[in-house]
Amino acid sequence: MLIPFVFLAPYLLVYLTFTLYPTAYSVVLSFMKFKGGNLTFIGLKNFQFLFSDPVFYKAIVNTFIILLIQVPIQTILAVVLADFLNKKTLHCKGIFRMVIFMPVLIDTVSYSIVFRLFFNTENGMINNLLESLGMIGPDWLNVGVLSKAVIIIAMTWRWTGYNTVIILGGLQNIPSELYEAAAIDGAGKWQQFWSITIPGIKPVLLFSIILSVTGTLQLFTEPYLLTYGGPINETLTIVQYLYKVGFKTFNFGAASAGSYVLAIMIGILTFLQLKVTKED
Amino acid sequence: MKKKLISVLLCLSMVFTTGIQVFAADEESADLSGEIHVASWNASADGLAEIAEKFMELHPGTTVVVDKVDAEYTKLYPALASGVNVPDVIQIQQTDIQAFLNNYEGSFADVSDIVEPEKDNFAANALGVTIGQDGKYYAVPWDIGPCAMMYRKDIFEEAGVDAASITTWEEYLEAGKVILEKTGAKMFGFCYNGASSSDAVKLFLHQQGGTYYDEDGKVDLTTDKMLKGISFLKEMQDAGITMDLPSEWDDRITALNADQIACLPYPVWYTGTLMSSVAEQSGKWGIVPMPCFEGEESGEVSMGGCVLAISANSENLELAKAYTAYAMMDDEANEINFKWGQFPSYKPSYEAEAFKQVDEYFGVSRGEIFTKLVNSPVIDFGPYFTDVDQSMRTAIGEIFVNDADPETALAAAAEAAQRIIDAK
Repeated sequence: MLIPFVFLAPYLLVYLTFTLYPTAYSVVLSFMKFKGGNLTFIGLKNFQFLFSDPVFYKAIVNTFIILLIQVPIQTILAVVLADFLNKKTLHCKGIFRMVIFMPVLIDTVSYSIVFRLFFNTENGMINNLLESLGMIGPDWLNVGVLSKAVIIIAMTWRWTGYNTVIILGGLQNIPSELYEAAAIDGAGKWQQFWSITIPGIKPVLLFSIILSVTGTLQLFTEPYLLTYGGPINETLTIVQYLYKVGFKTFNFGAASAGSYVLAIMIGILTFLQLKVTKED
Repeated sequence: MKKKLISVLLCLSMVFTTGIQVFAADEESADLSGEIHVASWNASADGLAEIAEKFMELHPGTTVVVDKVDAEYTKLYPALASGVNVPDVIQIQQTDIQAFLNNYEGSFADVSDIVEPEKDNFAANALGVTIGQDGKYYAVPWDIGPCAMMYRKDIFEEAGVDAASITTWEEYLEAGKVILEKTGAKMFGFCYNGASSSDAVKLFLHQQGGTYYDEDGKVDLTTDKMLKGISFLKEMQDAGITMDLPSEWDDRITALNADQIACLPYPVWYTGTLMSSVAEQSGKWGIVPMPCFEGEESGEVSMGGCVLAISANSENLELAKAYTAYAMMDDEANEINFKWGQFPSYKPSYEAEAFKQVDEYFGVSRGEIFTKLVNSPVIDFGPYFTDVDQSMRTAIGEIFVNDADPETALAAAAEAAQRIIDAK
């Protein structure tokens, strides 16, 4: 009876110490004022502060704008690319798979900085390219919409390959007989895609979307390094806001409270996604 | 998520507490023996390490370990909060020391016994930030960032502008227009949206001795000094003589290398960056004193700079103080500091050889020029500098990108900052 637990003990111990305890402790922190190592109970004040801070709302709105545009684009791209990679007739599959997956291997810090250089107004590659085509490049990092677009472009570049591989796994599990049978019954490519491919990869697709949604809600590195949350908080995300509250203004109580607000949002969204796509 | 990280770090330090305390209890703090840890970052840490070697030679039996940390204090926060694994000697930015004294009351040792007798020997603005609410000294001043107007001699010459004749910001603006017209180069670069830096605004504010607060210590960003600085920056921007540097540090280096910026009214520590990151322009840069607003006596201003604080719970306070005093006030140590880019605030050391040496890059002695520019105004950064600065950056974006009315944007930023402070 005890044997499985003996084997699990090292993991459980690490999990309890480094995941469960801190997570539970931050619940306590979110009702406290934390100053100079001393804790004072202040009830819901931390939550009150958050919900009366316009910047917090701005961070939530920014995060959701990025989420609602980036995740669909990325998912559609990933499905198309995965379908392409799954083609029987495709030559040099290995090379294509590598090319598509490669961005995932690049460190988030490095690619964020490289994208920042790309989109520099005066000396960036993108604007230099536009200039050589006779166009005047926009002021990417100083216009709210454009700076969000830059974040979305960067994230899509980085994460599409990752989701492609997940979806490709799903595609490969669909028996090819289904397509043959459908073809014999006279179904076109498009109909095959909608009636066989999509239902076949539904669980995998759902997994990939949940991962992307959760990841985007916790977005930090890209805006932190690429736009510094600017211009004028236009790309400030929830986690970046929490980082500022915690590490720039030392308000660890409010930061803990905020991280629970975020956790609850992620929970609700994930629940909804599972509910909506549930098999009857 | 960050809160997880913090708690993990807190917990980690707790795990190690017991072991280390038992170990440390055996160590009686005899006269200058034992071991101390010094937390410092980047090149300044390399300097401190070199100084530590000299110190250990002078005091056999002592061990001074310099640990490299990041300038964002991510290792220091959990240590101070939990009170364990706090380094004995800690590098802190001038702008942040008051916040540390306020947030971690009682964590820092009173070092008046080493600073007080020497107080007239430190540059006044470096000394000012080390004084606590009770009037005692809680840190030893280290480096300062006296500013000068560094300029591209070749570009100025091409435009027919004499840099030495520029003594006021008004003249600077006019010179900028001529340089732009004749050479296309910009006179000033800063981050228009404020997200990556607020240095430009601070430069003009601190040059006039202005702060982020009113007399009662409330956040006030609409002081005359602030508005004067902002409106001058705006005037330069409208005249087209400024360049946007969205990621200020990196973009400045790119722009310098592309000959897009002709002038840098900037601190002494940037000369090191010029020499390493803009190495090809060796011999092309000159240095003259900063311009100032009409009616002001001098343009001296300091930007950036650090102090060394000592943990109140240090197991070896004697050694920590002795090392800090040596590193900050010994001529030989200060020559090492200078070599590694830390411009010392301890004035008697300016007589040392290193400060007379002629630099190949500038063709003159940097040391000799900057040692004459250390009498900048004392600035009270207050305990909430970082909080206010965060809001300030939003206002900068509103003003220089969205063309908002400065007074309205600044008042809104002050209100936001005050709210954050009140919630703490």
